Amino acid sequence: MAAFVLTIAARAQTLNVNVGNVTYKFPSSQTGDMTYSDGSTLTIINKEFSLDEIDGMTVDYTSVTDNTVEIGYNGSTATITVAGNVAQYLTITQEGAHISIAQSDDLAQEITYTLSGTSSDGEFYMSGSYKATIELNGLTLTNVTPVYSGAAVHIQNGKRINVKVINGTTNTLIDAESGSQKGCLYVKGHAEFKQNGTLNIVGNVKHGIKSGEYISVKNATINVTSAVGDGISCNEYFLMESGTINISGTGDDGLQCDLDGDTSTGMTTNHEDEDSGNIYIEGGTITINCTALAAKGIKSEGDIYISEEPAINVTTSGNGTWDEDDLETKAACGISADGNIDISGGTITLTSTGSGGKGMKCDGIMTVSGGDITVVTTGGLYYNDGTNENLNYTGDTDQISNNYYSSPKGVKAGVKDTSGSTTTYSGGMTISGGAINVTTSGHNAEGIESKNYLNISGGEIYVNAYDDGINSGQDLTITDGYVYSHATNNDGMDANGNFYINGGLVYAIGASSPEVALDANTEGGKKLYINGGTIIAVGGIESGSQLSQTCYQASSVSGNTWYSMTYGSTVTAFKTPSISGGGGPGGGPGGGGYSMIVSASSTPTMKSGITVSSGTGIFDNNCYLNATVSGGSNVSLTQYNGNH
Amino acid sequence: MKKLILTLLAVIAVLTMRADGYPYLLFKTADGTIHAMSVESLTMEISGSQLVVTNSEETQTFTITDLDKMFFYENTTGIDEIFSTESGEVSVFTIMGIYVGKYPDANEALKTLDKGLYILKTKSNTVKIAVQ
Repeated sequence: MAAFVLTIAARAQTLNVNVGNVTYKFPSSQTGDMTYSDGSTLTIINKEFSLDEIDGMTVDYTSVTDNTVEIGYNGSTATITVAGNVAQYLTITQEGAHISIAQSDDLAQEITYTLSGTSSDGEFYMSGSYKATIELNGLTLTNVTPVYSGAAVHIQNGKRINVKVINGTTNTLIDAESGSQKGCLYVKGHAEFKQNGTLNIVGNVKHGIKSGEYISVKNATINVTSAVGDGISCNEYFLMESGTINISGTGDDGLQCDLDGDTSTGMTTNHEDEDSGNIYIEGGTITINCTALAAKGIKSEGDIYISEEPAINVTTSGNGTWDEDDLETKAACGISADGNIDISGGTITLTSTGSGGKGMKCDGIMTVSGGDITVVTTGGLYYNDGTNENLNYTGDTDQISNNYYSSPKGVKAGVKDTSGSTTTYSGGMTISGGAINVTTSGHNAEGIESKNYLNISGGEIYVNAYDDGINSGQDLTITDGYVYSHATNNDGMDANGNFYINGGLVYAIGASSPEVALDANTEGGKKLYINGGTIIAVGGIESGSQLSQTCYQASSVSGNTWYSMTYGSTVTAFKTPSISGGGGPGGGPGGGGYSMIVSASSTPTMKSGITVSSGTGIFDNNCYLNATVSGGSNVSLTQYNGNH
Repeated sequence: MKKLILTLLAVIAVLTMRADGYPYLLFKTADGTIHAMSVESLTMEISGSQLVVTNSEETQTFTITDLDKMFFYENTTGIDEIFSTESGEVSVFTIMGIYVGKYPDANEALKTLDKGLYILKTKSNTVKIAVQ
């Protein structure tokens, strides 16, 4: 069988009309009649040229791709090549390497603008009302003396703008210090970043990248190395599917998304007509380093959803500050949402070193069902009354206005609002999966705090905190999962409402008396209920607890010691942390060691000083499930009735 | 049982032919005269009130106010389309103005003429053509 394909390729002629640095390229197949009028104009495909402006015309065999505009920057000038089929819709003005192109409202096809070359004083400004594509094809553009905008690239077009960072190219944009632009790269409409090239951004006036509507990122690498405002700022929503974003050197937040209007649409199907202020991170790598006062690494006016397998690394080092508008202190945070935070996947590393700095917080509901989250905060309590500032306040915060201080925290969700004698609680926290590792070391820094309810039904939580390891403003309920919570200066776990332990493995270590490992608001008529699960409480439990599952008190407990607890056929091995001060058995802290209360689904036995040879390590391998142990000496366990 | 396995080779041959799509740029003046010029190395400059057109073979100057339009044209063998509204004799001259002869129509003239540039005239049209 033989197939023959006969191709006849016509060698197409192109008429080039040169007007200054602009070349309009008309394919011979499209021109039809090119009419002269009154000896003053020439009209080609509805594009009327004044003959006075034409520098010359040539015919050659160069190719023309419809719907394209190519701009090549070269020092103090630039050449522009326009496909003839769209020439009639474009008004081009140029001063040196400063280019402005206005699309006519009659335009009904998408134009691709390809920008390349280098200029130390140039810009690209495009306006219009039809969607467009901007290709960054090896462009280095610095705007020094703004003509049309201070931005390096300014798209005054409210439609969908594709920003293609062409594969294999490196592009650098620097805006004018003397301008008033909202971003070095500004898009009035919605910007969709695509392709595998690299885009470097310096924002000398405000944001690095600013979009009036949503931004999506797929594949592209975006480096904001400096910005007076946010690294990336947009409205409606932000969606990252893949690619890489690196942000540093910002004067404000790293990545911020706000509502465009006054009312949120919430998440919509395929984000159609969405104006939610939400941030969606579904893939790629985000690395943000914020040094500004009270700066947030990732900030949304709506919700933040992190799913699938993104890698997020945010570091904030700025201290808190006094907000003159709100008359209250503000502090830095790695990830912050005015709405909810929902994490179902990804690797998230948050570090905050400034005074009052937090790892992650939301005013709404925080839901963690997956992902690997690591949070470290080292800052102390931030105090500022508008006049006096203290970066490591150690006074009693109960005696000062909430507006005057910001507490460092690893993770925080929900809001407690007190107005007069009325207190309301909103938001909350649900953890059903994933791994959460929180370390706080600054004064008053809690590990995980929900201002409202806190429900734990899965996952692995590992907290080492200065203040309460895990705290809830209302009820705290654990039904499953693995929870380790160690506080060096307060309760291991503290519920300001009732505290229900119905299942799971709970290993809590509290500070010296009057703090305990497991605390409920007994003073407020609330209780600790132990109904099930496997419990290790070093530091004792709140007196007056209701223990429907029998608890036992160890005859002794020592720090930095491996223990095994055996119940039925299950062996759980755990290591106590370094503990100082403390107390004797039964009486809470004091003397040679803390009290230790344990409980399991059946009567346990205990050994200390054991050696673990195998098992499933959890809590940074300070605990092994289904462990194989050897050696050690028996520890006497006596039934505990719930009162010290 | 023997099986005869036949292998059929598919041979795809791509034959590429190049054809110049629009090798002529024609200029029509207000009096109806059409001037054809090859587009090879064609440049156009505006010099005062003149449009100076140069190609690899010649230079032609038009007074801009006399120009009605210009358009690309596919080939000289299709020149009869220009005269499609007409019929009848065509007078042929060399580019130097030397009379060559009369032909029943443009196609007949183009079949007969040797390579070169010619002026074809009908009752209402004049056109310069290149016979290749």
